[in-house]
Amino acid sequence: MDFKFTEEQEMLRNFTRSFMDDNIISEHVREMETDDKGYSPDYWQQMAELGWMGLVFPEEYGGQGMGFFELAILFEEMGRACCPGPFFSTTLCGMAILDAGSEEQKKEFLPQISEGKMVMAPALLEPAGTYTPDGIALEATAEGDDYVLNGTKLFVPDANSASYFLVVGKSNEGITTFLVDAKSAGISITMLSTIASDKQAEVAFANVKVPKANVLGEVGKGWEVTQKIIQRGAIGKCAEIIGGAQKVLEMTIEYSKERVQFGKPIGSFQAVQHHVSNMATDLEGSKFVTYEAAWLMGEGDPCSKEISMAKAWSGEAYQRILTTANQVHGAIGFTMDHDLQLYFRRGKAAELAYGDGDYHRELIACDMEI
Amino acid sequence: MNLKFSADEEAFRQEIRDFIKKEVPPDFRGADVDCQYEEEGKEEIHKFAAEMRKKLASKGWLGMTWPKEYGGQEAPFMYDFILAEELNYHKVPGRDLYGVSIVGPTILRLGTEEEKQRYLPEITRGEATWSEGMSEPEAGSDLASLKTKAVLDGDEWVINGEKIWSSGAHVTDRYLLFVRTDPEAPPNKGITCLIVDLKNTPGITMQQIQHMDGLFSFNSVWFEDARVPKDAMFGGECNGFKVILETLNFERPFSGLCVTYARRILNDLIDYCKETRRNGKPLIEDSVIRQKLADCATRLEVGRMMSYNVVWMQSQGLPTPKESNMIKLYGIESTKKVYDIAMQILGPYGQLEEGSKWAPLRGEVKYLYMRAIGLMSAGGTLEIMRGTIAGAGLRMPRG
Repeated sequence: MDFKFTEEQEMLRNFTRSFMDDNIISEHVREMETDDKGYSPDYWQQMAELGWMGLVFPEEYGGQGMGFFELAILFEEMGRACCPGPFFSTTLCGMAILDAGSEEQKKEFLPQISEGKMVMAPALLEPAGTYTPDGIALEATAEGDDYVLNGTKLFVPDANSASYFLVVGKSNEGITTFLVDAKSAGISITMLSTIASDKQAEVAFANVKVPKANVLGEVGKGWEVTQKIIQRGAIGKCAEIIGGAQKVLEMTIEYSKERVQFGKPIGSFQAVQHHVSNMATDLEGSKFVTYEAAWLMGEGDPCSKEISMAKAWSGEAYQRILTTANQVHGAIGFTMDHDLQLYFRRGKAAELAYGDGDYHRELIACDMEI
Repeated sequence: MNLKFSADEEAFRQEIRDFIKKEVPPDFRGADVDCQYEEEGKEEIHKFAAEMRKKLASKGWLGMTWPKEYGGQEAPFMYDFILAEELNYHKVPGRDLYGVSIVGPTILRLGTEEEKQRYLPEITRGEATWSEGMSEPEAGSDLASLKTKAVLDGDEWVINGEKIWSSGAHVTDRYLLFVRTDPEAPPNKGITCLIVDLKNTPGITMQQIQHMDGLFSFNSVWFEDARVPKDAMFGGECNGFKVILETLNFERPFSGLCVTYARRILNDLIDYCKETRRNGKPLIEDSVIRQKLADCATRLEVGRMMSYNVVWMQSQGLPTPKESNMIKLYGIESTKKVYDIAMQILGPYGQLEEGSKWAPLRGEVKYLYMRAIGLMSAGGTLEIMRGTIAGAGLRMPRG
């Protein structure tokens, strides 16, 4: 066992941290919450040039050939900065194409993603709101060279900026995944106002034609593709969570040193110290259970149980961390003026995304043959 | 980053499992490893623990990380942890945690050459076991205020005072005792450490204290003009507080082992839930029970990874002011939570004593549920852990 980051991983973290510190500052994050697009195309292009979009793609598709653990480092640093934009969605879809796509699909999509020219969004959830196969009702009917999609996708992240959707539907053969041009006739997008002010949407499909060549993976085997997206999404969210939690911890310690009451910094009071120690311990546990899952995934080892443990634990631990951080900050923490609310609101969204604790605990139970 | 055990480490783990299979009778009921010497009245377990200690010694597994000249194998730190994990998981006693993991490493770090030669090989040979004399009736969390005193009289220290919560002192050979030798100095500067031969020192009396779980877990130890040789002093005069901190530093990573023990209990509980029907179906099919069991497994996995990180950091010589206190805090809280949940799952059956035909899992959950309360204070309360994490770890302002 070796918990030391490689030199390459350290460099990636340091570089990402300084990019975020320089560019993705609080004002920018706040501005993007009400921006129609929700992110800066300029920063997006810079990130693409840094090789981030194609970080885990092989070089032949314009990528950097790095592993999932390195990507998790990026997610962690983006979570720390509340970095807005469709990076998460796009890389999840890109990895699904790398897994399941035909050579033509890989050649068409991956270089464009790597260059920052294509934004993609996974359209998984539906009004049922569950990350299970029986939550998929969107109908996909074969008609000549096409499939025709009818149904509603809900909580689709970054739908407003996506040029392609990765849509999970149900055909005669079973669950099937499609790469759908966002400009196809019959697609209508309604943005949702959410707790994290992120860009989630309802995406309605009315007789939307998708060429059969755009089926991703095998017809009827779409749940395997979907499951991997959920797994990577879950561990990615954990990485964002530990990045955010680290920043929240730092903010809280700093505040407890500055804020003076009864003639002393409140950080010198046992009650406050114990709060902060609990936060730090929750973070420590979340960090290592997340690293374990991300590392195993990067190695291609079986890790479904570890992923679910990481998500179930970190999602809920972050809620405790955020609540305690608010308690230490007193009234100022829950005002719009303070940055803590940015994390508090995103923390809840991250807990819900790609399965909450109850969902993942049931998966853990199945995995342990309970 | 490499979060898997190496092939060599896996092979060592397998070797331990083979050893356990060979040396431990299949019907052995298991012992609470940390407390093996506390099972008063259970002579057969004491006897078995002593036999196992000899067998572990002959494998070269006691003090295996120490230099060869003191009987060690110079094995990496992780090997010792793997050994401890396996013995804990399989409830096999014989590895004296105090001697091997706490006192031994402290002697290696702070002892003179003579002390190393004298005390370490007898641990690796399984010939001596250790306990500690730290707390006093009036000095618990505020350990530096301890009052038991020692005065030099010619070639001997004369000790007077009272220690309490000395786990296993009634059956161990040697005792790491902390006494006040300079009453004028500030509290933490007047403490000296003495190594006491518990079996052969007149003037020492003990009384066992019974834990609510039924075991006589620890002792009050009285010193009345007890005399030990001058060279029993360890770590230098008035340097005892440093020795205390050193022992605590070595003790902390092994706090994570309570998580390993709980993992075994959880696996037994899962089997129980598969075999037990309630409301017309197996317990295991009840979604509430499934959620609880998965929650327990998650808590223990988090603790396992935190432990490995601390072990790795210490093996690299990195300071762990935050991490080692966090694993103690987390390990004990998560273990406590698992036993709470286990008691809930067992329902009314959870309250039954071992021996009843109705008692599930031989009443062990009930016992551990009570024992876990003790862990919340043993070797430093959870509040002391939180204070240390905040102060030494996160550098929050002093009160």
